[in-house]
Amino acid sequence: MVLGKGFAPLTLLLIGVIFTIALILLVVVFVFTFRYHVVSNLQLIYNYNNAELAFLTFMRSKFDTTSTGYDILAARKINGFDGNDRMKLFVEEKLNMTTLSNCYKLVDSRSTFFKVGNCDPTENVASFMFFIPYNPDSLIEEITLVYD
Amino acid sequence: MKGIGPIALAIIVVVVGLLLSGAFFNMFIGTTVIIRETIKEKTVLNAVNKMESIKIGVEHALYYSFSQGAYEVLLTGGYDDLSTLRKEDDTPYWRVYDKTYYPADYLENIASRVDSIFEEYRKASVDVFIPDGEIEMTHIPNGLLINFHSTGLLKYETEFVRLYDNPNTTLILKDSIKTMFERSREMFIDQDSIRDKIVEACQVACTVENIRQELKSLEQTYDGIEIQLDVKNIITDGMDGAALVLVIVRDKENEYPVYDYLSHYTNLELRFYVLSGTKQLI
Repeated sequence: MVLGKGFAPLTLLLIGVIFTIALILLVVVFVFTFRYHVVSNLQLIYNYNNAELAFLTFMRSKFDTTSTGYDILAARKINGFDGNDRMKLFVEEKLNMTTLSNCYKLVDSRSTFFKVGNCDPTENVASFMFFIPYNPDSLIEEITLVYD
Repeated sequence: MKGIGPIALAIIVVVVGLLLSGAFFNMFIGTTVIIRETIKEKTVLNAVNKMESIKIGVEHALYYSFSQGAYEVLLTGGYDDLSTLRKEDDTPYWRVYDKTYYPADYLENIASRVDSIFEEYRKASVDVFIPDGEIEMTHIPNGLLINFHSTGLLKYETEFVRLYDNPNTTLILKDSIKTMFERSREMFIDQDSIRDKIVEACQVACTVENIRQELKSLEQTYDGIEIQLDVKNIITDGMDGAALVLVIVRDKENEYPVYDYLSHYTNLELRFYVLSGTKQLI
């Protein structure tokens, strides 16, 4: 195929237009993909880190002069946690504050032993090993905080 | 300019193809790189947080070790090893008439037991390595100082991160143990309160009931410590009498988590026997 003389300026114009569009497209695609990945990356790290930090902050919270959030959870099988409204209120208040959520649960290897909100949280998860009061059968257990 | 059309078109196609494939490659390679970096960052953050949780945990493991260790050693009269002592049901005799067997190194005995229990916690730790170390316990003016110190480091290791931290931990607890031992020593070692009461009783009427009544008057609550006497045996002979008493010294103000076939909170109890009297009748 041979193009006539009159087509040369049109071809150049076409080349210019296509180049410009391609360049703009390139920049736009690059910026959008970059932004998308950076935002998702930051969001992922923020959420992930926040769940663990929220749980760590809770562990350090003072319940009274001798015990902390850690003690309440670690010794919950012998400190009467299930029937102690004061302890439960403490856990709820502290986790409301640290997770900024009203939908969360605490889970051990067997079951959910504490839950707030009529929901099934799945989004943010933090698990830590807790040393528990002495028992030759078991000295450590994993407790997981999940919140939305 | 005749041939510019097809060449230009070819260039356009090639360049646009290159630009677009560059953009898509950037997207896919960028995604892979970012995911890999995210995993690395998550691993580092996870390691830091895990290490922090274990540092909190070590304090609690030390406290639980102390609770259990102190509970066990106090039940055996402050001794860690009863093999050379006169004892009954793993409760040693602190006094057999004029001879006394006060566990002057009770704090070392408790520390030794705490150390072996803490060793179990140390080995139970998963993910984070807790180094071997020593437990020291010291009476200080405002309490009982319990210190775990090690020359090693806490260690957490994964493919992307290796993290170390100082494991040394110190607890300061209310020192009821010192009061329990010192008050017991005053009453049953420095003085022979049992004998004194038998003498008092026998000056009036040297009967089993009278001696029992006098011994009951030794029961008291002192600075949050309750002293109870379980009189096991009293024998009289004329104006003489002797008694075997199980002394139970209880910290009434503090409860500790312990295991005794069942995990529960309880007060610490120091238990020992005192055998005394005006004559060796038992």
